[in-house]
Amino acid sequence: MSISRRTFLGGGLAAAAVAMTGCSSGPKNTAAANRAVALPTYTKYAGVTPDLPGDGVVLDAFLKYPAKPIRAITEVPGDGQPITFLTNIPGAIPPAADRNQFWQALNDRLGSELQISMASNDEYKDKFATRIAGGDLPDILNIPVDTAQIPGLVKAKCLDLTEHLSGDAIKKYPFLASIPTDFWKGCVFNGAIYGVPVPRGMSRTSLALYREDLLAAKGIKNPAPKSFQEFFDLATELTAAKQNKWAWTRVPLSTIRQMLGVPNVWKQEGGKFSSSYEHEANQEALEAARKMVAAGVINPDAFNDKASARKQWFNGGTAAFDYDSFVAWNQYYADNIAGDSFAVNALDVPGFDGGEGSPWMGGALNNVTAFSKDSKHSADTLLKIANWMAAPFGTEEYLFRKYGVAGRHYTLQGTDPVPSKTGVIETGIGLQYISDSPLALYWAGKPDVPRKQHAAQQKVAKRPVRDASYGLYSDTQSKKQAQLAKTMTDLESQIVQGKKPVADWARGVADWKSAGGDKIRTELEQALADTAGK
Amino acid sequence: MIRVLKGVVLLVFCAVVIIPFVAVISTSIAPNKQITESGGLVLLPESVDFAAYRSLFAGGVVTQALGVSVFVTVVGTLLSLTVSCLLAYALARPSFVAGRPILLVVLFSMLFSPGIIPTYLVVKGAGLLDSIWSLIVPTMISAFNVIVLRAFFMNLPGELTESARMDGASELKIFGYVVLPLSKAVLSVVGLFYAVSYWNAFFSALLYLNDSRLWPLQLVLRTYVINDTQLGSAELGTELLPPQASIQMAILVVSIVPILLIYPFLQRHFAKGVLTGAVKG
Repeated sequence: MSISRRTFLGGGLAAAAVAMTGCSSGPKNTAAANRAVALPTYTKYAGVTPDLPGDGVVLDAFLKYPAKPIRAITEVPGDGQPITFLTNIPGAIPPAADRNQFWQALNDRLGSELQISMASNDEYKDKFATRIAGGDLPDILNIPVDTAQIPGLVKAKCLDLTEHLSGDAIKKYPFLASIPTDFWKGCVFNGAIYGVPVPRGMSRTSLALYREDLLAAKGIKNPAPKSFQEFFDLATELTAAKQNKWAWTRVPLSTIRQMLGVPNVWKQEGGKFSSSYEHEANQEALEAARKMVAAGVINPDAFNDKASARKQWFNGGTAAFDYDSFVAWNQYYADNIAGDSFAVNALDVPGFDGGEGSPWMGGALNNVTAFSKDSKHSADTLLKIANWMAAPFGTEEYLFRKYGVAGRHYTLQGTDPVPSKTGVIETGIGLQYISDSPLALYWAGKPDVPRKQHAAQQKVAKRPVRDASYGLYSDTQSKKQAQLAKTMTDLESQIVQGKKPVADWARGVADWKSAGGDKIRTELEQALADTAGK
Repeated sequence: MIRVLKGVVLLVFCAVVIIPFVAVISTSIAPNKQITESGGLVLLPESVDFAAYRSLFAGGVVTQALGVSVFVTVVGTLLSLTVSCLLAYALARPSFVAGRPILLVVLFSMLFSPGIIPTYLVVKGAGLLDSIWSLIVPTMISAFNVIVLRAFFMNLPGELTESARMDGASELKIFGYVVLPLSKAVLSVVGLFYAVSYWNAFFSALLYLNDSRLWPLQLVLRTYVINDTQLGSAELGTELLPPQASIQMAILVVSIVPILLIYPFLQRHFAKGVLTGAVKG
């Protein structure tokens, strides 16, 4: 009775069927119904003052941790009964609660025992689908944004939170109210608010990151290529293949597309949607990427290795440029082996032939957190827990939630918490997926890092290109997106490596359209028309 | 000349097999700096650093998982062997009533496996969720192994069991004192098959066990391999674990060594056991 991944397909369909059972009555998931929902009122928490303030798009930056973190929540949020939570975890498995002092301290603070069922990122979807189809729902559920048919799922299985969160009602949960309104759009289905967002947006925005120290050693200070040609010349200058050094860890196709004004996933103009794949500049972008590969400025293993290898090349100095997010920027400092001289910065996106490019904004949400209809806890209790998890940087709750207990999990250097190994291992239990405050730019002991990050964000925040499909539901997209995107990424990879001609791209796009692309477009246009009340 | 050529070819083959092992072990003990600078794999470590192993075994998670895996493998293999032998022996007896329909049921489960959700519902209905037995009971009988055992038992000379019966031995005695001692080869092979599948299993644990204290080694180790980056920590700007390459290689060593240790003891039975089951039947 062995279980293979393939047999899982049947299970996934069953899960969808179970999830859809609740679709027969009540408000439909039309954009018009969703638009009628009053989104939560945004009230930014004023208890902590950032050193470099953000604006809802640009993140707040802190040069050091506040000396006296405020205890922002006095009430114990739990109700004394155990609360179950199903989530993925981004790191290695942490010690279980009985051997994990952080987890034990957390339970004391919450006033309820938090029982967490975990799976690694890769396996989470399997576990999620099986538990739902098996009717085995936890109280708190982490729903990845690319889950198929979320409206049917939440309607059948999850609590409608509208009355608790809509408009000013959210003020009862001040830290949830401190999450900008735009992030809540992704939690509205079937004309109701079904979840709490785990916001990302700008922190997931990816740019061309570079090793400032390596470039400085070559006499290049403040590199700011003004066109693709200058960008290419810079890459050539930093490549010395004979010494095992290449400019790039991977083909910067996304950066090139941003230089050419290719849309971020979907673009909307006058009610008509067009996909990034269809943009006419793709041919030119692919040609430019091929030119970079042919010139040998990309690490030759770029097409075979995983992200961890890419990060090693960047850290080890084998490559000077990488295309990644602000989160990865921090990680480079954590992995740093080059010592104090190590420095990272980001390039702005120039226009292909000069002028300004169009940087893409990162995905708004990591996941939506919903609460089970069958939960024995009140919606108020579960929202209080989520509120506690969203206490922002600078509060005492945040310090505990992210760093643990002083002495065991971190030590203070000045006012900055520096985590110990035990701290990293024990705190990695996935709390950030119950709810989270918008991330703050900060690096313990290195105020230069948040300063540079803040400056980079300010540059791109003036002209961010968002995915126009965010907040609009397309059934076909929810079912087929992963498969369609993979086909296009594979084709892209073949073309830039020179294994297929650029002309094949047009055929690929035609296939993509007939395989579901056109249907997604129609559904998105309909959703937008509903929203506009047409 | 031909002899030299043969030697060279053999050497090349040996190198092809051995070098990856050397790379795995070397990378697992190489210092971080060397791994990062070499771009991922190291053949000759500059110095020995057990940080990856310390990291793996820190917090007791891996040690605990190792205990679970050993328990599941040993107990599971013993139980599987017991029930499989009993079933196969019964099915091998020509006089066994309903032997054919039962054999068909066994064969059916080999050809058509149930989907994940039905299996999950059965495990849930049996009250096995969050129990270590959920790693053993649902996979206790492998139809393939039963067929191999049955084929072997069918080829034992009927005169042996008949003479034992004439001496007054019961069926169970015949099975225990005559049949089993003659079946060491096939038992060791089938036992190895069971042991390896219990040792490698992780998916049932992922689905059935919410309590991570009951997770077997393979599932725990997968969280290190699959989770390519330590994003959670990076968002905080905290210190991270040693580079993935050394951790991943240490994981390979930890997960393959125990099962490798068993092989030499079973090797002499292996070819004979597999052939007996495969050819005759």
